[in-house]
Amino acid sequence: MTTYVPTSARIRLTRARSLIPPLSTVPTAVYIGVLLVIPGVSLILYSFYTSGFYTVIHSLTSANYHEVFTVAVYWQLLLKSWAVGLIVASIITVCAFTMAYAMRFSLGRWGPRLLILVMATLLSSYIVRIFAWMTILGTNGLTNTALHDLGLISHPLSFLLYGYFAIALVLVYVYLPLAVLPIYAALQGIDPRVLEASRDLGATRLQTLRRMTIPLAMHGIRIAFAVSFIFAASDYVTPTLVGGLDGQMAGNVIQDQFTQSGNYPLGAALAVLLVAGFPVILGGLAVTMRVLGRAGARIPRRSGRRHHPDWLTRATDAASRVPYAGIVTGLLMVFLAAPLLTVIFFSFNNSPVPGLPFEGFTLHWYSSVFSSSQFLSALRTSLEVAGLAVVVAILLGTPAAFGLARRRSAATSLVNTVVFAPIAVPGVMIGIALLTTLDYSGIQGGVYPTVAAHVLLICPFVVLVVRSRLTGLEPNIEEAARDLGARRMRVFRTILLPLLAAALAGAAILAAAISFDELIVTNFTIGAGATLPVWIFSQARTGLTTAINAIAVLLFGGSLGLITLTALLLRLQRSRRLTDTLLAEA
Amino acid sequence: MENHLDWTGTLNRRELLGRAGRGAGAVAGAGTLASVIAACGSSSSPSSSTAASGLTLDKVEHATGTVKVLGFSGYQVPQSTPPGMTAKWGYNTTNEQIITKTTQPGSFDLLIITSALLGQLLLLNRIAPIDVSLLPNWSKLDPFFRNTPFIRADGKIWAIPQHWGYNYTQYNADVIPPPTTYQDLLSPKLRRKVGLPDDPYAVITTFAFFAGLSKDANTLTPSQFKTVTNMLEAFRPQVLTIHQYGEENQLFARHDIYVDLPSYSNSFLLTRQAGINAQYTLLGSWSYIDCYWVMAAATNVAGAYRYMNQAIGLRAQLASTKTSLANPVVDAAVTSLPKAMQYPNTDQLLAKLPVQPGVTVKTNSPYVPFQMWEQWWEQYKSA
Repeated sequence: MTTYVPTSARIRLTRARSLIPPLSTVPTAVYIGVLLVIPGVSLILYSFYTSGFYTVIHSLTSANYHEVFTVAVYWQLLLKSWAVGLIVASIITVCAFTMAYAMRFSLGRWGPRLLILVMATLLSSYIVRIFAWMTILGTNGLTNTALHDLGLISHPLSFLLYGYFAIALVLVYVYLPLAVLPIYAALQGIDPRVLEASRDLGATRLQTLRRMTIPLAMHGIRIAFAVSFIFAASDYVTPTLVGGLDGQMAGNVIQDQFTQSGNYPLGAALAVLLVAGFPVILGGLAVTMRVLGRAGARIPRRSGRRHHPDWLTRATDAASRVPYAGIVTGLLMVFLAAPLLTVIFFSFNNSPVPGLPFEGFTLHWYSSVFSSSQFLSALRTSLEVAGLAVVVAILLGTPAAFGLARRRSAATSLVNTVVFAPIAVPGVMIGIALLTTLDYSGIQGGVYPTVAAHVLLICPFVVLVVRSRLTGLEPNIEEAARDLGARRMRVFRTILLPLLAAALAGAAILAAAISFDELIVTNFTIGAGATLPVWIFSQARTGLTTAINAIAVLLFGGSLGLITLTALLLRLQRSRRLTDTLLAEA
Repeated sequence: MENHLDWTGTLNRRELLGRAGRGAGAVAGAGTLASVIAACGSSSSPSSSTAASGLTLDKVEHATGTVKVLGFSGYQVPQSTPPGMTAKWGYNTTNEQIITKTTQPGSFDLLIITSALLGQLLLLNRIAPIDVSLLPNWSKLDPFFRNTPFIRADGKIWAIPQHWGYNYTQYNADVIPPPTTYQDLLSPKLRRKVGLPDDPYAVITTFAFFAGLSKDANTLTPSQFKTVTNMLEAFRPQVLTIHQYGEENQLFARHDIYVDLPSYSNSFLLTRQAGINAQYTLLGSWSYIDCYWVMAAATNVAGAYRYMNQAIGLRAQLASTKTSLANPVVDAAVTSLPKAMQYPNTDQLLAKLPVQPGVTVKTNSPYVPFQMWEQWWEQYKSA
């Protein structure tokens, strides 16, 4: 037997290889990198420029940062935004883990269906759903009315709407479905037999959860936390609508500096600091968790079984049989469904105001929507943009997900950073930078530039979903197929594609939902034209009518129809595959 | 001017790839990237004096193609589009947003925004002077709007009035008595029960009226500005939220607010339709004129003139008044307003509720410039 001794040349080669990113990730990384380098570099440069009148004067200064640090309003807003982001992300991560856990391990075949329902809550207009929260939380809203009628309160609870409570609640609502996805994907990769083995070896449910399930799903949990934190801390639509005068966040000021006040350098300095805070805070948390984990590991554990009194053992056993995850998931589903149900109910309201009071049943708003040429034109544009963007994002994102899931190299983390960077850059900055780049390139705003922008925004989500699924798939299957002589393409077509079909469908639906609802960047790139969110937001100027509820319901219905069709096609494909296999065996 | 480029807002793939290639090529070099950045936010519009040169009435009347309009969706009516032409609309939600959205020359041919932004648009070279002899319907406008100084600068006309309106203080008459003075708005009953729109120009102007500065509401000296902003600071405990225009009727309907100021146009009617006994008082009221502006880099100038002419005609005015519920500039179209909004005489109403000129953009004038108004508002909202 000869012992393999790596030569120094081999070691160098291996090291050099590890620096090369997986080839399949290159197109995505280049695409995102190029489209992001412009906003990224301009964001930083802007922050050092001097403000002109809705322009920048190209003389370098640190005055913008000085202003942020010396005007209390600004640095306090940054701190508040990070704090809100952390609180919201913590709540979301706990809720999302509970839901994903129930879907994966407690609810059997209802689990995946529930996941679809959770994702379906994303599929109607984001703005309209936030308006629905105002109907629920307002002074004479559904919550206050219900509490009053039950005799629990004598005066309306004023803290429910307009303030940080409302911001946190609505942000949890908005980003919870997005966080469920990576955790569910991570839990899918856990073999239930491993958990059973843990129980068989005497671990309690809680111990199994703490020592097995959570560590094994930690990758998905981290992604869910980071994405929720970044999105929540930089959100501006939610604070604008439900924050009131007492509940503002940095995203609002950044947005206003670019679109209202015209002080781009100050907006850029705030954006740079907000974004710079994300890796610092997330990194700090990671280090803290690691230190706490090590400290925890050093605590000597008591050996042997502890003897509890009988009543305590019985109570613990009884308590452990309560399906907590299922119950909490049920409550969270009510929480997620409430605004949607409100929107549906009030879409039949015979009142021009899209909320309370309910003044009778009518179908008028549905007919008014279909007779609106503005709506139909905006819908057409939205479908065109979302359709094209999803196709391109799937084509770019899927190979990238393969590269990131199947090959580890030093360059992988760099590619990873690039691919997910669009999530961290405020949308308003991407929008402004793309607008000015279009200007420079002589390209008019319109559908194609908007598609290019949407691909940038949705590609990370496609990579996220597909990569999570791939991580859960055993690479040995592919290797076995290759060993048996199958070519790469055949392995992909006959093994990976069927296994990935559901994930790809899920990624496409998620990407379509995000693209269909995107407002911030689209507002700058669509030029003369409008997608549905741009049009809906523009309606606010002359007073939103109940027609927006009808639009949201129609969008939701249409999206559900699309999901059902996709599910049926996947099922058909699966049964065909089964038939083919049986025929081949026969 | 001939419709030499018929941009429709979209490109075919070949053009897109070609132009994207140019853009990408430009970005590839670090030196050129600096140029991109340098171009960002810079005003690169062509000279503002050339837009209508060479244009004749005949060319305007026979203009075809697509005209790209940026404005509020309420003003978008099919009656404004001349036969044989198409209109492609982009929308803005705040007044100031049009400045960002028109950064790219050629992105729009026509713009609809208040005359109070004349100084801003001129400073940024975004607009072209308008030759009213090319607009046959110009003579049909109420003389007040033809003669108004707020659309003129340097001896030229820069905007064509399209609709007008006035601001007012709206309140829930079932809950509070009619406010007759500013002091009434400071009532403890109104603590966290007042809504303000996210429009610094409108809010600060209204509070300047409350401060007794109605003659100088848009030309505030630093000390006057301080007086007004101190009033707004003192008013803060009353304010529940700073909302988007159009949101106020929902706020009333939910009983979140009892007072909104300044409300505008049809707001009180929508609030009434939501079951609230909405009334309004002209305390702190003043008027504005929403106008058409021809962009300096318009690509279909003849089409823009033809569209604009049609939009100020009676048929289009009747239609846009009905959809936007904004007051028309052609008196005969007042009949399109709901009864509760109709008025007998435009001039009398405008004399009572004067149009405001807009805030200076000059930083070397004795008055507080627009930029300061905006920055102060940002800090007020965020504090």
